[in-house]
Amino acid sequence: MRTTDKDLLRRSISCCAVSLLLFGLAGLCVPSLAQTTERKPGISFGLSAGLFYSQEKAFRVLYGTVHIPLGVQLSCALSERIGFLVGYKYLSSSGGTVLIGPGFVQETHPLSFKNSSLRFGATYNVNLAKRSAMFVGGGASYNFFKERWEVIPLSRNGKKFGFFIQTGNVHDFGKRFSILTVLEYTNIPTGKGAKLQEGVNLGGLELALGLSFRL
Amino acid sequence: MKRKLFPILRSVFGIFFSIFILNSMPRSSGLLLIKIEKPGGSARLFSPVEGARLIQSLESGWIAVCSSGRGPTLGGRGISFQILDTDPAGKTYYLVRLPAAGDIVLLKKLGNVRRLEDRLCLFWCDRPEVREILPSRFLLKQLPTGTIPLQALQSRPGPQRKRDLRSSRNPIISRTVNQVSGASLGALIRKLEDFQTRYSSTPQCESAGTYLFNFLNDLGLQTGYDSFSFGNGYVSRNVVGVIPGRVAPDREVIICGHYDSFSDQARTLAPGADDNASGTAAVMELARIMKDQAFNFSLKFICFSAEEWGLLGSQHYALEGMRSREKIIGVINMDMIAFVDKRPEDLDLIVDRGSEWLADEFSAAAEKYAPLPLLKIVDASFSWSDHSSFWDQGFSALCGIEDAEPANPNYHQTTDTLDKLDLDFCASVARAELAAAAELAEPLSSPPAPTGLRAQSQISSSLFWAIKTVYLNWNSAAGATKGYNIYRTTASHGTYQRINSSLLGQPSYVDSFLDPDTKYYYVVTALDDLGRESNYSEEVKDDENNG
Repeated sequence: MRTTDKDLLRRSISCCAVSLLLFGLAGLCVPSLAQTTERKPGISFGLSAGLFYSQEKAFRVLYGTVHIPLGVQLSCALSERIGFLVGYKYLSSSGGTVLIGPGFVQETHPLSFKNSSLRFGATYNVNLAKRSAMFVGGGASYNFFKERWEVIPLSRNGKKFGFFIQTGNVHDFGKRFSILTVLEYTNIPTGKGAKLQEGVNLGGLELALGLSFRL
Repeated sequence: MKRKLFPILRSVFGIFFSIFILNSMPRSSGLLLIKIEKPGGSARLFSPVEGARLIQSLESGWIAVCSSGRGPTLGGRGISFQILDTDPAGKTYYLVRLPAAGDIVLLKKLGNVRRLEDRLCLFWCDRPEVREILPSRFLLKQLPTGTIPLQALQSRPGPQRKRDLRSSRNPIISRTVNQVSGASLGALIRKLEDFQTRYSSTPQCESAGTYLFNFLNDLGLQTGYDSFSFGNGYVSRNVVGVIPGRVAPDREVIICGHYDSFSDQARTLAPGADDNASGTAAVMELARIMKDQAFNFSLKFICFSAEEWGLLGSQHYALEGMRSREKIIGVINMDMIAFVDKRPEDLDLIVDRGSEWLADEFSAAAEKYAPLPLLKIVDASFSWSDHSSFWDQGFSALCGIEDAEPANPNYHQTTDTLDKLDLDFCASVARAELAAAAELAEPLSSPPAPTGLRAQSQISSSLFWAIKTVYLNWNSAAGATKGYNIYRTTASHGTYQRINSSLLGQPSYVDSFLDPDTKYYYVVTALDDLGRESNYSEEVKDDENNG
């Protein structure tokens, strides 16, 4: 069960690199659609929901395999290709403890987990078609997390910096709306864990779908 | 012809002469017998010295065997030592305490002597029966040949008991203490004296052993002999009677004294009323009284033989006890407890540093149940009675004696008879001994302590927290039981704290939300319908039964 932080980080980055490559190839495979962009500098506001897969096996054992984080994002396109973003992402989950070593009596203590993530970063856009663009980006996050034992007064609050890298596609419809599909890797090392895991990383891989509105 | 023969004869003679010279040269085993001085005086306990095999602890140091090459190394490490013998292989050594420092001159006439302390000497000679050649007032201990186990060099904790057991009087002990009778002790001493001599190696001594066996056996104790050989092919027997413990019969308290005697006419007349029919009578009297009472731990009543030959009987027993990993809680040895040279007479309690707790327990018990003046003496060199054999094997032991420096003018004389003794003093000592032994063995008050305590632990973990849960269960106590209390500590046999807020109705308990990195130890008690609490059960560690 125990793996080192380095191993996990290496595995996650590999995953992410492969995903980015696939997205990139997908973009390049539709050259016929590539046309001159009509995208202009401006600010847009977006909402998203995703499927999150934790890189930490311990997290998956305790809280399940897939989770649905929700996010809001404010993006500012400085030019046709460069943009900045600030955002907030929220993940909440519930689960139960597991036994370490020999177990004689089946006992599970209910758990809840919450992570709020403030994030800012930059994107680089590559236009694929008149109404479609691919982007890659990355940035830093500041995370507030809390794990709580529901029945007994045990909880752990933490604040940790992390980073994320992402790639995705923006497809415009109408004058102001866009649909976003994003594949994102986050890395949030939190340091020492408990008996189950020596070092805990709250990051993972997320596939999100969002709606954006240009102000 | 003569010219040819002469060089041949000269050569042959030369060869034989060389062989003779080589043969007559002392052959060294490559070993040294040394005395290592205790660093910084006598107060410190020992830390092992690499390469030196310790065979005897003294107040001022240790006697050890090391290879001849180790001596300089020890010196180089700042360990002060003196070489006692350069060829110890195959030799039997004795510790001899002299009546006066000047008596060393007499000792030197009898064999090889090295002075160890003021009146303490190491002695060896060619004769196997040293007791036979030493003057009767010279005290003697045969040096053990085995290595002192590490626990013999460390302080040993006493047993932990409930606080209220320590402070309050136990009515069972009070009742039994009052049954000790001076007249009964006198009759027993008389009976032992009637054997004329109990000098080990004589038939009378063996008859006395048989008498003691029958006495203990008739009381209903589990009785047996512990035979051993010594001297020039002699065999003698320790006599052992057991009251098995009800809760932990493998843990035992030993009450002992030697039944053999000595005088300057030992083979024909050695009444040994004070030395040590008095201590033996106390063993018998305590067995008679305590047989009717049940205890948590076993009580062993042992009458040792061949003490006067250098503690041979107790050395044999204690060595076997160490090898078979006997769980001896403490040894109470009484040797000469009936002569009064001044009033009020006090009882000297001799202990080594590891056994100090035992003297303190004895004093506390005596104060509660049978007050008498006591004097605790910590002296690892006091090796002249059977307690010393137990020290050598790492057991806690004390020796009760009327005077550490024998004041009885009849000591080791044919005049050591019952009429010189004070049976009131003897009875008061026996009462204190009974009280101390009973406190150590823990009388079964109602109800008995629970048995079969088992513990299993498991750890539940989240990402950032883990807790340990310990599941405990034990056997239901026999008879009417109001409930149970459970006690916990984080140091084995440390100070137990009760953890249940209300009395437990069932023989099980779950201790939750514990630190997973801490070890916990538990004991349990039972309460009867009158609210009387039992002694502690055996202790278990939280994961003792995890398998």
